Amino acid sequence: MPLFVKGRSFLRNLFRSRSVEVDLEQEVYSHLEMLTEENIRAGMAPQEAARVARIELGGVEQVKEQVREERLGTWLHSVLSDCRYGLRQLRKSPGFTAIAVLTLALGIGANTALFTVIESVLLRPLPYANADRLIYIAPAGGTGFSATSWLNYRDIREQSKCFRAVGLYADDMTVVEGKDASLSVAAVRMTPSIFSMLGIQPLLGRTFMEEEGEPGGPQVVLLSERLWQQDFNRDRAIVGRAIRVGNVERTVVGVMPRAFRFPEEVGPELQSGLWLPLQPTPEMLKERGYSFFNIVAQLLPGVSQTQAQAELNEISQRLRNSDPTKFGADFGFRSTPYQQLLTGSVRPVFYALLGAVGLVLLIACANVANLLIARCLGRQQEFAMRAALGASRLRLMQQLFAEGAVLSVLGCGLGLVLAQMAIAGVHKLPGGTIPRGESIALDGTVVIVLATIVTLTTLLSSLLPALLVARTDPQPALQAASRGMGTRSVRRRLSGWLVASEVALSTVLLIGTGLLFHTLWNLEHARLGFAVTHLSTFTAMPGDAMGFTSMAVTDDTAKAATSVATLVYAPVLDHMRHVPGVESAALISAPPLSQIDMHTSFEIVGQPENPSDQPNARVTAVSGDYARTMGTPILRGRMVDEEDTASAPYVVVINEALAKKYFREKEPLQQQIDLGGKQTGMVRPYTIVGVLTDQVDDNVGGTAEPLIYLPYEQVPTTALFYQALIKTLVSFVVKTRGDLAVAPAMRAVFHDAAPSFALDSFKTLQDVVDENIFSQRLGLYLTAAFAGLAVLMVIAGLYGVLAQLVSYRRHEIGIRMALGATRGDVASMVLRQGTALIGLGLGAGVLLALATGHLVGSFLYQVRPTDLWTYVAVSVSLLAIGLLASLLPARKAASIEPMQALRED
Amino acid sequence: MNSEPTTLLQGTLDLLILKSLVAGEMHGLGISRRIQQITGGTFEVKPGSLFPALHRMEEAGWISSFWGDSENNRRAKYYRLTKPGRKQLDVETKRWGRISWAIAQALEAS
Repeated sequence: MPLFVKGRSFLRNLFRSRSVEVDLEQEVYSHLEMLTEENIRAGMAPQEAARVARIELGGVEQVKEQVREERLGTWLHSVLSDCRYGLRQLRKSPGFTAIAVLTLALGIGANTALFTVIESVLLRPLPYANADRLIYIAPAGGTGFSATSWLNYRDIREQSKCFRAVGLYADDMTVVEGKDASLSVAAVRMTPSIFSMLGIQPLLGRTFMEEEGEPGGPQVVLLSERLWQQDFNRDRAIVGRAIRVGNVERTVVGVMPRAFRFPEEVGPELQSGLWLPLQPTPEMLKERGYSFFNIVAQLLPGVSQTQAQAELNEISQRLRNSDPTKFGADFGFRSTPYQQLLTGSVRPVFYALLGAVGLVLLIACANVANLLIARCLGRQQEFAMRAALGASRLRLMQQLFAEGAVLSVLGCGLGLVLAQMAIAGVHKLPGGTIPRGESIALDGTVVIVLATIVTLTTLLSSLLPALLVARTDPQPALQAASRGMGTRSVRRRLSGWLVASEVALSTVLLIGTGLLFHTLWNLEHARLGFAVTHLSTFTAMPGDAMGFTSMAVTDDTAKAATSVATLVYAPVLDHMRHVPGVESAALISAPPLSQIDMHTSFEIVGQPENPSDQPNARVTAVSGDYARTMGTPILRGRMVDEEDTASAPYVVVINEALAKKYFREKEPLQQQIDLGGKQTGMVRPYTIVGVLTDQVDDNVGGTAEPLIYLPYEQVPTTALFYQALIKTLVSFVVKTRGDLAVAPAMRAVFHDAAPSFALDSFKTLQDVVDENIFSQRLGLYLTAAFAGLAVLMVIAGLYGVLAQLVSYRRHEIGIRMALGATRGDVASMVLRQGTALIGLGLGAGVLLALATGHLVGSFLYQVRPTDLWTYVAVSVSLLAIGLLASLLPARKAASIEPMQALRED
Repeated sequence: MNSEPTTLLQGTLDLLILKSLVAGEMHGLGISRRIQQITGGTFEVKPGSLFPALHRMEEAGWISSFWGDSENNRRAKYYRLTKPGRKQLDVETKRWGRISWAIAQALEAS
């Protein structure tokens, strides 16, 4: 039986090439020996006989090589001719080809784009020397980036042996003189050790030297390439010149290249920012509570993070033992690889999206498989003929795989274009949406990804059709002239299964979309604690801003300077309120959703102290009229007002969360709180005069943390809080009547009253809220787009299968109608088939979604993964879609003329 | 016959191998000698052409192989015609007939 022999040889070639070799060698040697024997029989001496035989053979290795070449050549030839044949076949049916290629391209494009994003953000190491050994050290407890103090840094640097270098940095802001206005720019304070740790060469000049990180060291600055370009026209003579940074003369020592973006968590604004050396102030060297700094360290080669963590535990243990009253029982350090921390927030999102696009690709493959099966049916005669002529099953399968591969490669080409477009779209996202977003680009690894995807799609889409072809029995197929009942029913069943699985996968996607939609709706209607209509916000920064972290406390309160709040902000606010169209205006140093988060510990006067569990709250300074401007209700007492000046009794207002957490059932009003006394310069206690309803702080839908509102004129200029709350960056909220162009009006006010102030970030509060839930919105849109694709494919698949079904059963339907079935009966029969497929897929999909629902739980807000309404809505809409896709084939079936259908055979 | 005209005569070599196997299964040397014999010594097939051709034809399914004992009780690889091989022989024979007729016509024409 030739087919069998051929198959065996094919397999031998593929899987047993070693034994093929042995076989070949034995064959050639036996030939040589037989030649020798022949020569001996002809009367030659044995040695001479062997020599002549070898000459005739022409070298064992050469013969073997020739055979090998011939074999490989034959195989390659057959593969190439299959591909050519496949291309010809595909060109003959452009409609089928277009649908199949487009389907695959959408699936492949989405996957390639997402793989590229994941590779660029999560997998590719940061562009620094030994980036994999970069460790971030935070205080124990909590997750993410979290600041610590200079003294903690000093202890780790001095006591640890696991690190090659330890560095400290603080993310801050400052003001530089721009070409025509003051610019507020990102200013990162860093110890010089970080530059050598990261191994980055400056574009111009040098990085910081060791002595520039000493207390009272030289005042120097490093510029980013973009700032150098924007502000100094790429003037190479800038190095060595002094520029004014936050009202201090600083010498420019160098310019850093665009690729240097450390610390990466600051995001895109650092691209036009600058770096200052971190020089410890006397306060920082004295007080372990000044947590404004981030520790980054580089592991020594061969040291694991676990070893480093163990050493950090020892260090914190030693510190706790040295002074148990100062260190709480939970004092410690937590170390995390820097890159993991940086990208940790998007990791689950990416993997969830990867799951979604994976499903889309699977559906695309199922659809192409179905299309190929449908085509096979049309080509049954061709395959039967070829089988009868001696083509082996494997040979026929190989041809189908070649066609699948051609489709996949075409799909990949188009998919790559789509991926490139998607990545261009990613770059249009607002900066900071994705950490390391700037580094996302297609690169060499995409070749590997594409090769994997092509193999996968080829296998998935061609396997079933190929197996079907392999089952083709040429005899009945040829005899019955394409009416071989047996194989056809197998094919139909398979197509049905494929459509049902498409429905199941789409169900999962649709349920995901529904849950995210519900989440977004909930977020948009979540309680914010303030009104957003007609509210705008912007930031202001004094020209001599020192930065949040340049803290200093002055003991001499008698000679205290007058606060910028009293000197500038109070009159400016007064001007603002008189601008026509402005209803009210207020100042706040850390407005909701600004991500500015200043924490302080405090004491309730008269309550016993507990070092390990000190009350802790966010703190912000506000002007009068804040609650009215924001539309936030006052729960009890009163809000900070214009009477709370520097000379009035010191008061504070707390939020609901603080009242609940630290006062419980007790009356908070008229209680006094102490914000650190001499240590922080907040010498006098503050009396609580009101409780304000909670506002959201960092995230829409998040829970509010305890918060203290300080009157902005009652933050002493001698206190540590002054730099952070008043002297660096403050925000204004302006409530307007009707549509007023806020930016020009406010710039005009400042131009007259305080021209050196840098104004920035003009936004409506609605924009602020929208930006905050942007990632959820993006997630929803992406998932919805994928689900939409899936549904389109399901419609196409279902329609295809039912249309085929109707055309094969023309004869049978003709008979039914001749025997008395009405057109309605026939139509409902087709509809029933469609509904059965949908129902089957839907059932499986719902089960699958229930089983995997917990995976999306963390993305949801006030929606359970098993949300009944989502499931009901998805089921109903998929059934409706299914019925719609079945209507056309049903109509076609109902319009069959029985006499005509019966006469066809 | 030397190796030079083999490209021209690739189809011919296949035809001769197929033809020689009609008589029954044979090992490589046997096929080589048989071709020599039936062509009156005109064609002498060297192993360097024979084995690649045999393997290619086996790949194409025209012949199949098995290990057997030679006339001198030596293990040798035998080849035999398959059903597609016989069909191929028919096809090749007809083709060759047409070619040789056409060439003969062409040569007589002048």
